[in-house]
Amino acid sequence: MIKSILIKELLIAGKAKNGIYSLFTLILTFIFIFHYTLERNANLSIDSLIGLKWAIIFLLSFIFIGQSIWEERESGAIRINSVYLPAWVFYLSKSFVIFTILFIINVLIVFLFYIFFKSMKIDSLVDVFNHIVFLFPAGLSLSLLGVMLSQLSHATRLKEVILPVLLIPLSIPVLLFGMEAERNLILFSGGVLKPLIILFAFSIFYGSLGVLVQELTNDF
Amino acid sequence: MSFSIYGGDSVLLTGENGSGKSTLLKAIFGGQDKKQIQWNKKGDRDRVSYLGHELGLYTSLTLEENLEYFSRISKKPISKSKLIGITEKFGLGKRVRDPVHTYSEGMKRKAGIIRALLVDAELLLMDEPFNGLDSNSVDILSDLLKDFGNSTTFIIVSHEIQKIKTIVNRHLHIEHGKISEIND
Repeated sequence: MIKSILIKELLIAGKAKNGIYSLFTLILTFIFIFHYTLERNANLSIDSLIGLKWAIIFLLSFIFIGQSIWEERESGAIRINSVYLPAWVFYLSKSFVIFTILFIINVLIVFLFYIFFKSMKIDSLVDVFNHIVFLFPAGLSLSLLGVMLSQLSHATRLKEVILPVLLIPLSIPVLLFGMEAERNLILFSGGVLKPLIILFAFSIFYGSLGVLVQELTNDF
Repeated sequence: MSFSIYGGDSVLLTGENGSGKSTLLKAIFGGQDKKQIQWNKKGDRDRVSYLGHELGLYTSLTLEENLEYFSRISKKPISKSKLIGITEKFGLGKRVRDPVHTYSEGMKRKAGIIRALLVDAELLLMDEPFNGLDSNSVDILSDLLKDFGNSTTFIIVSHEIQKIKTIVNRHLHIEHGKISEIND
């Protein structure tokens, strides 16, 4: 059953070509703006680049989660799914696929940063790893949180309003700890384990809360 | 509101706009307050199929992908021949591998009907299934429902009373929040 859901989610994501193109264009637009306005005059520091990267990741996750839930809701398929599938299976499968795609996009951002910004140095696979390792728990947290809030917005009939209202404040701690951990790792300026544990704790917390919200709101 | 439906019943549900017909179907399906619906045995809920105003189909996927997905999650895998048979009956045989968003409104409605029928449910709930259908498809659906009536319990919300009356054995009417049986 999980396999069927995953295949369906990947098919939907794969066929949403316009959505993927628009995301890619958005990433490039951000990078171009910062490249031509700041990088051309003075090199952006690695500190600033880490902040910029996380800001783009947040915006992307916000847009991508909205896109991926939209079809589910507008088609009415969410109601059909809710009868045949346990709420937690549907929730975790959807979150997992969104996380996987977000993670791939995040890796792409790292390489685009390497092309456009001089301070972004990638000499070996270890450097790539250093730039993406914290995206794993942070991306997972953002996916679990986003899908949970989408279900909440569907159930409470607040629709699109609730998603930004709650997603922004609830995702800020994830971004802050993600940025701190990456800075500490790359600039050797502090401990890495603590923010990493906190990021995983957020994933577990949002995941558990998401399963609970799915079960509680599945009646609507 | 309280009423009973028995196995083998085929029910026409009527009422004025806003009387709660669609809400009642959603409630039975489990879309609204499923705890208030009493099922005889555990697992009965899984054997219900529903067609509402929304299609219940992923428009970016093809009809074939949609039908395979819903048959898998409802644990009633459908054979290729059955899938081809019913899609051809509704004139969608050649479009089964096209994304649903490329269909006309009438074709989407037919696709939604096929999705609801293919689940092989014991209780079939349909909200205005004839809306947007051409006359040929209306006849096909009527014939299918007549056949279904022998083995499947169904409730149909419709304003086309005369047409549906020939295929149902009960007529329920909702008025002012009360449901009553019409014997005519």
